[in-house]
Amino acid sequence: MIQFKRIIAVVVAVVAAATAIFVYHSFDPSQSMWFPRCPSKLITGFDCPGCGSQRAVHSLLNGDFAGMMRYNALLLPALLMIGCIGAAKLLQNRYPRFHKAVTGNVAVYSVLAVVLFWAVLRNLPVFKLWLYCQ
Amino acid sequence: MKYWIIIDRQQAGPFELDSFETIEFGPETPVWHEGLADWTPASEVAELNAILLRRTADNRFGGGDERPDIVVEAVESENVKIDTTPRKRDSGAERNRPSNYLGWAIAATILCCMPLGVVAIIYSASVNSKFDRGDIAGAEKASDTAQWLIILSIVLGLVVMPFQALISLL
Repeated sequence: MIQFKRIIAVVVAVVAAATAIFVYHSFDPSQSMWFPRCPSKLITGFDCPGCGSQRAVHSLLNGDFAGMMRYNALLLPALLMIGCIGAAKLLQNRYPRFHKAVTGNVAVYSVLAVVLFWAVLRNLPVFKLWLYCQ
Repeated sequence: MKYWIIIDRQQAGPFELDSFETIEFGPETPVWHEGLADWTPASEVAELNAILLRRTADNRFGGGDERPDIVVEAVESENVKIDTTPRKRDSGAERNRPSNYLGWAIAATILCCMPLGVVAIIYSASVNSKFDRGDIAGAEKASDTAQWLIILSIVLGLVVMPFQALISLL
């Protein structure tokens, strides 16, 4: 039964991921109104650490590396980190130290620091100006 | 003397020593009784290790393989010292460490565009520090909170979507 649930979960995850990749590959979120806009951006007017991720994913899936960095420079590091943690979870029994390294407190606080730093940095007028000039 | 143990991440107790004859526990099961500074593997509590060793012997000579994991793992040492100083947790206790959902928290922050994700990361941090301090119940709670924050940010992201489309239509 548990095995069965697992298979269902994996199938659902794969289908969801494939759908998301197809949608974000085919449609440009900046040209369509059907993509969700960042609620914190709507409310506060500031860019949150995740703002621009959808456009960045669209750029990434279309091979536009510069566009991805422009929309959200944190997307690629975040995806790599999520990949590392996922791999560490799967291989937890074989590589317990790797798992500890990527989910330990050093990792958590580093992530927190980077996210907060990025949240502040991207809202600085200087940074926006610099980005505009690129 | 009263004993408390952690089985399947649940704290249980108080138990008398006699009760352990009927409780399924392993050498790594965290145990605490008055006088211990911290949760201690059962194999390092002399009287409990004695029970484990007896079970090992029963299994070996009784021919049953009902508790193969205990047979393999039981610590066969006569003079186990009871360590009352807080120490680094071993891999046995490590297995009880609740997930801090760091990967999901990052995904919630970056992909769902939710400030809640940052709060989830903060709870992720508290899972580890509470567990390292020996506050296992607190770590469990922080882990649950982190999980709910992540679920909430994903759900909110999905719920808000149609409304935003509506707003942009107007």
